[in-house]
Amino acid sequence: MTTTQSASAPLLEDTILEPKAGGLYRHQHAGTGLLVGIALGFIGWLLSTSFLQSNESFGSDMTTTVTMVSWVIGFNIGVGSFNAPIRWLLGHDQTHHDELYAAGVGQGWKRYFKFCTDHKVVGTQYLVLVMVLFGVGGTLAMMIRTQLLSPHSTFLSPETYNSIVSIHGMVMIIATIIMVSGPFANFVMPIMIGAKDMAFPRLNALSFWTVVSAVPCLLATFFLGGVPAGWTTYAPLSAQAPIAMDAFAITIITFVVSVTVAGINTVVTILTMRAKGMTFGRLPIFTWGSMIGGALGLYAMPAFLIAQSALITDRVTGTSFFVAAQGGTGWLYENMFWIMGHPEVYVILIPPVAAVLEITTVFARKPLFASKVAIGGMVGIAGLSIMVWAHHMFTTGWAPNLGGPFMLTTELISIPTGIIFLCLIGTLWRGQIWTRLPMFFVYLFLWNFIIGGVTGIYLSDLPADQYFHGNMFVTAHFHYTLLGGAMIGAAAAVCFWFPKMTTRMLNERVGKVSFWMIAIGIQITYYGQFLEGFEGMPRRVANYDPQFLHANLISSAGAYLLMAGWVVMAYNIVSSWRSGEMAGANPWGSKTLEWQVPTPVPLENFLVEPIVVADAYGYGETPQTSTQLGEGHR
Amino acid sequence: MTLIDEQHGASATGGHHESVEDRDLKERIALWLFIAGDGVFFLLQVFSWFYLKGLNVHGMWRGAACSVSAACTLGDGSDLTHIVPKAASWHSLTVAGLVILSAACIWQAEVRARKEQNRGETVAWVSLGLVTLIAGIAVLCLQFTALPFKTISGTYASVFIFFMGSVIAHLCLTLFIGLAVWNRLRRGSANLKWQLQLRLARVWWVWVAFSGAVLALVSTYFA
Repeated sequence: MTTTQSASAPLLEDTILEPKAGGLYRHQHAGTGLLVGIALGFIGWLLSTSFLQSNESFGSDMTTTVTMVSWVIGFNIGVGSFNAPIRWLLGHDQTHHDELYAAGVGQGWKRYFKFCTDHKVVGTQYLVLVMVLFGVGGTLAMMIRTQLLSPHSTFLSPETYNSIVSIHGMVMIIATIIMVSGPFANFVMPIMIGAKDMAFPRLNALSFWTVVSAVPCLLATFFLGGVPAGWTTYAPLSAQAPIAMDAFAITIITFVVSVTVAGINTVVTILTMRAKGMTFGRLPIFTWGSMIGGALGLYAMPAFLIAQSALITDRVTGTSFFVAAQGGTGWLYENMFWIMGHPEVYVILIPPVAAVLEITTVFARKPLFASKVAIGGMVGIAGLSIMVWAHHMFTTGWAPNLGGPFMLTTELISIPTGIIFLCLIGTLWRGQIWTRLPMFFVYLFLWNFIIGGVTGIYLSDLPADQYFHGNMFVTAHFHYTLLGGAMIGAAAAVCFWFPKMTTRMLNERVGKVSFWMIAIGIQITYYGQFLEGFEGMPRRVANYDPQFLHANLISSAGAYLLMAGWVVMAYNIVSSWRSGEMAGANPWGSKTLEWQVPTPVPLENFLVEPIVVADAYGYGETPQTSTQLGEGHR
Repeated sequence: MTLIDEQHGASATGGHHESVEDRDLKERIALWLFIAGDGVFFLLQVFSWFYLKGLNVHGMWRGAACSVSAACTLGDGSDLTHIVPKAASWHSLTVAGLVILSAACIWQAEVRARKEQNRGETVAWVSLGLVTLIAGIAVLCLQFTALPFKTISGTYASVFIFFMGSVIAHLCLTLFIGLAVWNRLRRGSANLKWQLQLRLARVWWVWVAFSGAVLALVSTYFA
């Protein structure tokens, strides 16, 4: 895919920095972020309890909000997020050595705990964060399934159960939004297009550390009375919820900032930083997926921002956007939420789908079948996804006359989705398939996502939705889509790019054990939930009629197996990262650029500027040559 | 030290070795994307206004004045104490006017910078833009203290105050950008980039003026 220029240069990592390079950054890291965040949060709490508690109705909500906002700002001050804007304001530009320091030069492993601007560090930070979030969300899921082992279980109180369902939902939504766009669109995508880094390295680090600052707010909800309103937090439930609801809203507002910044960065990087010869026609499919997902996030997230901002003003200052008793309407919240909510599903899905397509071409040793059509399919999904939100509101009574049009647009979305499936199957068709661990997950993705997609068609149908909407059928459907589809796609991506990110191979044998546990676990868990749905079991209930017992036992048994599979996979990642077999620069024989650079990837990625001269997937057309930017240049 | 071609590369190390044109292109696209996202936020604010006004749940768009001690209940007439008065229009329109004037000053500064390369005049125009912007923020703060209703006075009051909060957040961000541009121009630290930075600031400024003016018009003439 590449040729090289003859010029070469010493590694930037070997630069000897000036003694005070980095300035304030030298003293900042996650620990200082924590300290300043706690200190500022405490000051915010102190001031708000001193001056705002006089308002009997909203005092505690104000205190919670002020404390959480202070924490977020304090953490980001402490970790160094605001250094560069303040220096810019004061007219002090950073020197080259300051920038090298910020990019992690000379800091070893410590750079992973700092506001580091190197996209590979940020990608790795995201990978670890995502694993932690999945650990938390998965543990909460296990608590839910344990509660549902018996009809009248007292393992959790109904209030606690509701809170756990809410936080499980939001933790998983946050984790799935960033699970591919965080680690891989950061680590891999810039190299794939021949760039030295993301377009805005500091914004890149900012997007990561803002998510980090949001996570404690979300987890704090357990200690602030819980969020018993479901992850959608519809009014008036959200208006009646304890003060944890304020922390929940602050979490989302902070997360929206992160996703917006990351989305802009991704799109600008792909539009402006491609190497010479990397035309749009030669862009790897994963970069298309990252760009479309990032752009869609820019449309979706502002709706989340305004919904949560209005919700918090309702709670903190007594406005009445969503409280019907005071002239507001829950429909406004529901509209805003789902104007975000359905595109957000595709913000989650498109990047993993693109990753799966990318992986398939490598292991089928074939060009991507109808690649332009696949790109069109992703654009079509993104375009249609902004016109389907009201199918989530079929049963709310909002605008019954719009039911038909929204049913139509929702069903239309299966066309571009089906096209992408055809491209995937067409790529596999008659390919010389090399079935390694990533491909196992590709097959599983294909199976699960078909089930998730087909069951979605029933839910888009107005009459069927009246029955299914409030029951476990929906739960099974969206888990098949988001877990069975998106998360499995992300798992494929982890297996595929792990050698490039960590320099080591994942243990294939342990990987296959985890794969089968996950694969079987998913089918048992969610077939069980489909069964619950067919029987009519409502979702979000802590106790249920004994007639649903068998289906729940099946689902819980599957869930334990599924969780065990993820634990084995996490173990595999950690142990392989520490002591796995060393990987070469290009263990899969891929033709995209990220595999043509040395492993570990040097700062600024390319020792010589790449010039792209061929298609990324021309496996049958252009032989791989020794002129690629492989280990020989290290 | 760096591998990158000074004219065409982009650097992992914060863009230190990028050409001014490359950096400008990236920043322009980023700004337009940000404005697109902010545009969604803006449209949803306007949607909220007309949606709540159109629904007029329990006649409480401007039909009730609630208080903490006697909250509005079902809105069947018995709990309505009085019609919520409209906010004085001159505040909103003055703020909008000042922000538009401020944007015009920045526009003029950018034109001067581009055509005449005159740093002194440019700084003067930016200064004037900042002064009018600060005046706009001051009038907005004054409006907060002079509102004839509270946040708990029904949906009209809710959305009105939300508009104000949104506008003030945008103006504060604009003030930050404006102060930075002004300071860098004054210090001469903006060097080659100064015209391009001004052009970016101008685009943002015009967007803030436009969106603020629309919100002012909506809240003044569609109450």
